[in-house]
Amino acid sequence: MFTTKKLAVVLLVLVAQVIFGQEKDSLKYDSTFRIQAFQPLHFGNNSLSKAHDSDFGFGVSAKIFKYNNFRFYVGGEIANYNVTDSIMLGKVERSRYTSVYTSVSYAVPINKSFTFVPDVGIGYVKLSQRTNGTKFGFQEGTEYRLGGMIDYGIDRTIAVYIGIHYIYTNLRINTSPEYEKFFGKSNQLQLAIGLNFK
Amino acid sequence: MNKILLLCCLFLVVSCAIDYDGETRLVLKSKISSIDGVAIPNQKVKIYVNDNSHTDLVSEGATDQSGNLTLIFTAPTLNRATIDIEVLSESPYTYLNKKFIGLKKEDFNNFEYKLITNIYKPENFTNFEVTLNRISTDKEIKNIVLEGELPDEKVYFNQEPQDLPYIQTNFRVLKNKDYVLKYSIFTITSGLPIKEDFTTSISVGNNPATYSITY
Repeated sequence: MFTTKKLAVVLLVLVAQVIFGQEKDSLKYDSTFRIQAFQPLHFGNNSLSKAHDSDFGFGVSAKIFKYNNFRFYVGGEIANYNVTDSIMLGKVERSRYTSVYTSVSYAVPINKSFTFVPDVGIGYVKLSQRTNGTKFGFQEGTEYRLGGMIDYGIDRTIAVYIGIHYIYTNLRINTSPEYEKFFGKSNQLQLAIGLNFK
Repeated sequence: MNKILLLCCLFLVVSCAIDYDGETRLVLKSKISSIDGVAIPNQKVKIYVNDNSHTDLVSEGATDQSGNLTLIFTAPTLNRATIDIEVLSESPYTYLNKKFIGLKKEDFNNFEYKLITNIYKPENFTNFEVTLNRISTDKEIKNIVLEGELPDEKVYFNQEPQDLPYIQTNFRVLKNKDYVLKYSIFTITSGLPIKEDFTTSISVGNNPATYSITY
């Protein structure tokens, strides 16, 4: 079990690595990319959690440059949902959550094969809704993501990874005050598996 | 060429659909009761969005044991689109259907509309007839209106007031209810017509009722 003290020690070690572990400052263009499949697990009293069932989602992200051990990514994700509560959503049958984000990660080598990559990011979100033949518009918003990945290097060019992220989303909504949070917020834990092409 | 035509047709079909504002959700809170104020469960409520050329069914549900139902649906983008609500009786069809026509987005106060309504059984009705007895050729009767709880199958919202092209003299009314009958009599002279307004109370019992106007 992780106690708060142990977690604090790990975080201190990570911060120490960031601050003191740089060999030299260098900003480099670096074009590697990741592809992943993920399962969003929504929770809380909100539309995506209570009125939808999630399918698998897919995402890609590309490292655009790195600064010492920091990596800067841009990425995009798509996840589809089936509507389960027609009282709350009306005749909408399907929703699609699309995001475009940027993130900063920091690579922490664990051993020769494994690398821990915590990251934090922010993105634009579009939640569109439709049924057969009818588009019911979309909501736009902002997502904030925090989590990490563990890379397992198969060889010098490719690694498999698993990831876990907490993603909090704010969506624009005009509705009765009673339902503003329900349609305007989203919390999800995203479990991912993917490939990192170096 | 055929493909181009097909694409054009598809574009026209797609572009004519009703547009929805996904960032606006309207809330309909309905309470359905009988004439005696008893809540009616399992009463189906359907919401349609209408823009004159298209109609979409956007939500439906059934009332709970307390006669209540909350439905949330995506608002149409255009202000001129209307929202129509249909209250439908399920088998064994004890109650008559009722339709509310012509609601608009701005009728939703803070994105919410409360629909508190009675629906009726056929045995709740009787008939009320106004008989017209015209004895003077320089007089005309207009604007006969019956005010009170009318068992209308259709209730209209946002209608422009206009003179009816005909004079309504037959009304379906509820038994054992009081109503107010209003009408105007115009005296045609060489100048402008002289208008006189009349108001009278009508008490309806269990049987068909009549009221006679002589002018």
